[in-house]
Amino acid sequence: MSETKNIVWLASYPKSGNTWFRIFLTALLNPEEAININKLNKTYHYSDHNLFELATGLNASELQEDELNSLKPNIANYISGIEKNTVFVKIHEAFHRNSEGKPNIPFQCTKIVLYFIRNPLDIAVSFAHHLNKNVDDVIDRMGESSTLASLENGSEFFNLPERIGSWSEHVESWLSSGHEVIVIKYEDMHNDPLKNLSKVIKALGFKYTNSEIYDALEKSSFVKIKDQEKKQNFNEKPSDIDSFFRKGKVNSYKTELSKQQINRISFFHKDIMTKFNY
Amino acid sequence: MKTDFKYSYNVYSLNIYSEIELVGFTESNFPKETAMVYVLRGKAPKSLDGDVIDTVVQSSKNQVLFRLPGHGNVLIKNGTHIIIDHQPSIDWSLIRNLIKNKCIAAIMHQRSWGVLHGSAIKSKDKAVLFLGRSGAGKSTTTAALTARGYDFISDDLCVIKNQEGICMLQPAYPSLRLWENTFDLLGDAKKFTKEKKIRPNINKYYVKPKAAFHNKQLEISHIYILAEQYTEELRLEKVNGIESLKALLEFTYAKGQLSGLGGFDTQFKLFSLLLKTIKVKKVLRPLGQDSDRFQNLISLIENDFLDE
Repeated sequence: MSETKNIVWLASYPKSGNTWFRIFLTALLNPEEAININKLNKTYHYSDHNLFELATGLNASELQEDELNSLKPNIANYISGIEKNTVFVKIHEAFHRNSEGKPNIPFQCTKIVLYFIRNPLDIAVSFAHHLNKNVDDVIDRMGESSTLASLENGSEFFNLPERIGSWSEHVESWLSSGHEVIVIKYEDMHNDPLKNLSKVIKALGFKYTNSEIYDALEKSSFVKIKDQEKKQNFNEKPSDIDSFFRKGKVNSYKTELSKQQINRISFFHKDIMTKFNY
Repeated sequence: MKTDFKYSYNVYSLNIYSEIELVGFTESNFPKETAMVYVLRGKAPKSLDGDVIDTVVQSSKNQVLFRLPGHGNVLIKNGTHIIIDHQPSIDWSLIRNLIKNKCIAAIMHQRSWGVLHGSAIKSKDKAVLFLGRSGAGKSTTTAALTARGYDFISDDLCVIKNQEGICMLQPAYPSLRLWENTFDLLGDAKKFTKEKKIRPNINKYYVKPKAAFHNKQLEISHIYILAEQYTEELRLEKVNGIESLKALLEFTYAKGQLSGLGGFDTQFKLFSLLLKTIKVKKVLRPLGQDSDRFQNLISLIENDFLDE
């Protein structure tokens, strides 16, 4: 078993700022290079089936969901083994244990979990766009505990299925996972990125100056990456929507959700929303 | 050696005796003394020497071991034996698929044959290969070309053997595997026979093209790489020199097995030889496919290999 605890997990419910953070991170770790949104170096994607195949030697497309789940920790062991230093791995799954009681992300290679949280009212708007579905269906989905991603978002061939669960379950699963977790609010990254991301970077033990972090933020500004997506597309975008990066705003639900829709989300997720002042 | 094997096949120019049925493989009655590979139930080790990580696949010189929790272990050794040490809860559909691709690939690696992750058709008495990662569209592209009348040669694995200085593609067996939702892209459904699912809960099917199956080894003329790099316009891009060698090494099938087997040198030499005589091109395409766009892609590739 690998004993090296070198994986920093970038965990989030979809549309909570995870991808943007990866772009920022790529800018920070590769200061000499221009940002290319289709080459996010130094970050892995836990549902990348090619990574699964490298890690296990098996064809993901021939395995059933329970088999994939029981073998997924091999991906973490593989990444941890091939990377000598700290490495970042994006995950949209809720934290859970498989039928043998093994966690989906192993403790022995985990350094820390960065958990990105966003107001579910804004997620509903953004996720509906991402899935190309109407908001009411997405609100239902955000409240269902058996939710699987990837099989429905147009990228069946490129992603492994992920057990996401409801939004509330997702948040709770990570907070009670037993891993060390730093919670990062989307709204804080949006409102004062320098201050809030500097804190995170320092907590990870990196020695970047504020000026270096500022430069990385400039390179990864939402306007710039949206512009780049327009020019060259984004490989992680579902095929049936126009753009992955949409508005990147806070409180857009105020103009895009009906009162009834707001009430439904608030009813489903009252406890967690209250806990995080949403 | 036990000789009462119930099944005998010829795939990739290998005579195979098997205790278990390998649906889709071409059945063959060959003289006993010409058997080259044996698939049998037996004892496999729990781990290979020198292994320290709890991995699914392990390899050492002349041995590859798959360890599948709940199913059992499968040992592939010396380029001749695939030994299944199974548990009572084994799912045979999983093991059959594993034997047909990853275990056969291990046999090839152990025999120092080249194995690329790709599919192939015949044009002008030569083989045209389509390489790509899983999900890139290799099988769909190949199926669409068989619907246009090209003979089918291989799906998923392209096995290459150096025959007196010429790299020859070995014929597989007349069966493709396609996701259910790719059938709409292929045009005329009458040009295929949809058979059973590869596994009960997976929407991927064995498909038999109506086009002829070419069952002799062939020289290779073209290699197209179905890139996961999306562009505004559909186009082909030449891949030259060291980049083409890198690409072939990148698309070596089950290359994780090679670290223990020590087979990188063999692949390197074989692909260097292959690249002396063939052209490699990357297929760049926009994200998202519908039937019209897909057929345009097929026409672009077809015109290209017919022109040269």
